[in-house]
Amino acid sequence: MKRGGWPDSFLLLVWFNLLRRPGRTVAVALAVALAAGILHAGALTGLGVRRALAIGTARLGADLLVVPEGAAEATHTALVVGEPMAFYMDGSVVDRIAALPGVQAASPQVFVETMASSACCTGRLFLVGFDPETDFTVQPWLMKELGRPLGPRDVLVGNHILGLTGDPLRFYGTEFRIAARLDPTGMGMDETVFLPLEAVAEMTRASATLAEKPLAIPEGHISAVLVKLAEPERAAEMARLITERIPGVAVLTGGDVTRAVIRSLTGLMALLVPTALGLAALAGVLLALLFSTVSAERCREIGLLRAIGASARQTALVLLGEAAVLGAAGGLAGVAAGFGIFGLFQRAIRFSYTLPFLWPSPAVQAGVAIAVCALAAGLAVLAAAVPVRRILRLEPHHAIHGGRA
Amino acid sequence: MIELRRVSKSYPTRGGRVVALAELSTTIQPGEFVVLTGRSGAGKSTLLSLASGLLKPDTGEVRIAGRNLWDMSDGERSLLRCRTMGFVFQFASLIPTLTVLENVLLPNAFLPRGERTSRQRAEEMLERVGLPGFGHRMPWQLSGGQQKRVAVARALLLRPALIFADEPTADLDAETEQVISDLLQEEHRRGCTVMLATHNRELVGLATRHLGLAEGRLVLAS
Repeated sequence: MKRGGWPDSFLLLVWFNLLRRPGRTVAVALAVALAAGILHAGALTGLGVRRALAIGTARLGADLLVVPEGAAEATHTALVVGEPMAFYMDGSVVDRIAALPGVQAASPQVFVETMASSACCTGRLFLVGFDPETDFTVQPWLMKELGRPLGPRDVLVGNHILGLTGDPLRFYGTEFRIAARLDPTGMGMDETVFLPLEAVAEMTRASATLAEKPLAIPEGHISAVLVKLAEPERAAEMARLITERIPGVAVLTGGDVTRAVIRSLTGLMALLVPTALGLAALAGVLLALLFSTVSAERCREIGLLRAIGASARQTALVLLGEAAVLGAAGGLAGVAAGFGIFGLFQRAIRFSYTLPFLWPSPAVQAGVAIAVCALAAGLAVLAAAVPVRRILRLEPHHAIHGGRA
Repeated sequence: MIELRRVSKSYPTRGGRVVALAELSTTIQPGEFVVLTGRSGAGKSTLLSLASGLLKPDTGEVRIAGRNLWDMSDGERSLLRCRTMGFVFQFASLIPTLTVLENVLLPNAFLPRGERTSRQRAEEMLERVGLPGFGHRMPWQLSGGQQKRVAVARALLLRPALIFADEPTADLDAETEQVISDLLQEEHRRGCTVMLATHNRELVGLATRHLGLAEGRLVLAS
């Protein structure tokens, strides 16, 4: 508004009071922003993990994952956050599993952990060798999206692996090319490079001469077996059967992964939720104190407005409007800070708590941001309501005289 | 016309209730210039506030143009104040976050759109109080006397039928005192009813009626 003019609505008093008391406005908005930021980051985490769980576990494609005994936890970490690791067991396990009643398909995988050394590899990545003959997770996607199987030097990369289609990737001295990229899942798959088992074997052989530190995978050994069941709802029962019949293995079910993720998420939320609530309560108390003080300071000003012709309702709208705008502005700043902080620490949070994460859809993100701002504005109005009500119960004469007769 | 019928008001204090006005009755006719005098605590400010609806009497009635102020809703009473009354207080009564011009125009904010006055009128009022070109300044940039002049300009903006002035010249320099005194006289000549509480004996000379108060009772009516 042009300086010196006058607005159409008395509600513009709200803007003048906020804009021309910048110190107070910024201090209150910051208190609200702190609580809103933590709340927003917590909401994003919860929703992002749940979305990743929903999409990621569906994309895993196997009912069971059989790994060497003692490797279940490491496998869980690899599945959820893509932390590179390697462990091996005898390849004969595949046939023994396939022979079990109720097993529809069993496909071996070999895990390779690459090194972050320019002499060896493009970076420290998690490589998964799959068997194109028996695979039922990657191969069908390849045939549908790429229209052909992977060539001997082709790799399929997870969504977070840097590089464009056709770009080279070097592992243990062997150069591969990116043939295709998977859609994001929010799980370890996003950090994984997939290649045919034969390519892994060839890379292993070549590493003896090409790599500074050769890759050592025992002949005929594998890392895991993906199992598809005829009746997926019997996963827990089949997992027990496999561990009974085949010694030295551990079995992970989709339910195990989900439960472990929910446990980690609960652990994180046990930290975030009380912090957010505590900060929200603190912001509420600060706001109540501030409005209490401000209302006392502004008692004469409020009495004056009433004398000039403002009704109690209009005066309340001005004061509560100030609180609402302050709260919403603080909420908005908190939402922005929440995005920034979460963006910066997302990876650290994911790895510390072994959590999958997929950003919620833009509509959900907007909804959360609006909800946080509305909550902050509501909290501010609630905090201001008590002191404002007290001062408005004063007759204008008493308010003009600072609360005295 | 303002009618006060057996109006009483007392305030609670630590030592019990103190009677500010006791069963006071008087009628202020349109166009009167009523000056209220009396010692501090005699009930002058209370009488002004009761007459203008800023304070509710414990007992008795306050009528303006035949209507009991306390039969009206808060919204109606507020709008009546906005439309018909102008206030000048003893203290510098400006809103600190508004410019001088915005302060003068403030009553507009509480009026229905069609009844609002123009920015030009506000600038004319500033000229009348001797502060032309001060519209863009903030209250803290003005002296106490200048702030009081702005408050008078605001009180007169909507050409009120009633002006309530509580110690309008207290703590002011002689020039500002004269400006305010002249403006109140001009408004009175225009037909405005003025009720003024003061300790200033010179202002008593402006009165068409002089009411003396002591301990909440009328002790002089001339």
